[in-house]
Amino acid sequence: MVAGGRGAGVGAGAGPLTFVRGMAKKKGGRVQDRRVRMIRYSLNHPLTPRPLKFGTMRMLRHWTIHRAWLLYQRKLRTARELELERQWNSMREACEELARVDQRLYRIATSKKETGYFPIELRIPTDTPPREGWNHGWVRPHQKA
Amino acid sequence: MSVGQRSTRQITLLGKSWRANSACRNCQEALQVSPKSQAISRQYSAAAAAAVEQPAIIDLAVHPVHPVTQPSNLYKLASSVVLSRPPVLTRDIPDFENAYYFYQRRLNERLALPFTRYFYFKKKSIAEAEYKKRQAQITDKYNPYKEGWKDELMVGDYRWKKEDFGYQEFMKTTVSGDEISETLEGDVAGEVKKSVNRPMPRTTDADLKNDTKSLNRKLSRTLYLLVKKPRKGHAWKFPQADLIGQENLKEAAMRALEESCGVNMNTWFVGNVPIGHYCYRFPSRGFTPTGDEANYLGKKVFFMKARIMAGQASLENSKRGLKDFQWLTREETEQITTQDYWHAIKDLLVAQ
Repeated sequence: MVAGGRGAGVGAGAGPLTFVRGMAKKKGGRVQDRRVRMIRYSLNHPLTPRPLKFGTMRMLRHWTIHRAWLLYQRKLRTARELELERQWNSMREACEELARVDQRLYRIATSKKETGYFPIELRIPTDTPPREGWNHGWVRPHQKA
Repeated sequence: MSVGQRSTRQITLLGKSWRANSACRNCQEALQVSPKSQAISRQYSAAAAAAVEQPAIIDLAVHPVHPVTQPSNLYKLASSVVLSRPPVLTRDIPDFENAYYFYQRRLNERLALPFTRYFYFKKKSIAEAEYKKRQAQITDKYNPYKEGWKDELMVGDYRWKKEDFGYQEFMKTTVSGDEISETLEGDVAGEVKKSVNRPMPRTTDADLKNDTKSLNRKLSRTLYLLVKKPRKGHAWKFPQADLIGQENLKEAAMRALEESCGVNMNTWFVGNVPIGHYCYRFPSRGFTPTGDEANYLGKKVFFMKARIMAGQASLENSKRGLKDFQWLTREETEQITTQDYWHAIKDLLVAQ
């Protein structure tokens, strides 16, 4: 590092720096974009909330809520994983049984040919039900005539 | 369940089935070919060597293959379809979760900067006037600057929970440009107003009546199709059919569904793999076998998974003489089925 390196470095690179004070440029004060002014205002709103300061009991309560939430999430996750595991085990046992009973059926069941396509009619769950409800009157197309 | 690789178990099973089903022991010994000839049949590179050495030719006239007359399976095979309607709605959120979300929301409201009106609405514009008017209508809005930090949700306090998912409040408080659209022509204004519809309630008529035949019931749960056979015990089951001829499990399951509940259901069968199985023996007393059931000890049922996307089951043209059908959740299925059947199917039904 060179002493007074800032001035030297800048001067060597891109020519001399000009320092013009914003207020000195125009007499009528700063001309600022109205949008910028509004953003400034909203960021330094007069009603800016005070920073959170928890007392001991308040902190303890917050911590308890947080821990309870984590525990709850873990229980949900474990239940979901166990359910998947049960389903998988059930599937595996069925396949083992099938292999014991009939090799041809086992081969067809585990082959990945002719598994079909994912249907586009399946819908994902929503917060509110569809307006028309379930389509009970669906008829298989080739039987319409 | 591995598909790509042939496991040792599978190969040994193949050997077993060959030994057990196709030929008697003498014929098998006669058909045991030398390792060299096996190599010929498998490797092309060994073809040159094979041309020199003559492979062992089996004379079938000397050693006729005697088929084994005993049936290879003591159990009759059947395929059953677990047809489910996937949840239409997201899960119902428990009270604990709601209380936690409420706490977090109030924490956010405590920490967030207030809404700056002039940033979003130009001064003295129509939209600003509408905003002011609508804000004045809000009576129960939480204001952390005046009321302090109210982050606790009291037990049994459901005022914050709106039946219409906050639709009314949304319509009342949101600047929608209605005032502007009033100045427009009649048809255009009508279209603007119609753009936001009131959401449908999560509880339907079928829920209130507990109509187990309807697919509009329990929209946040998975429903399963169960059919009732005309007998006293083991009446409620999934639609089921015995395997006929060279049918595979999926084909039999599809046939079972069509024969028992009609064709007017848009279904999708998830893969070819059975998701569960159920073995039982025919009772020794009080059982009248139909067809070739007398040749078997019992039955092995394999469950195939399917999903319904539209349509409804119908027993009108049912070829199986079924009495009734129901769309039930997991818990309701447990109540209606027998214990051993429930034990076989409980692992394949999902909790939600």
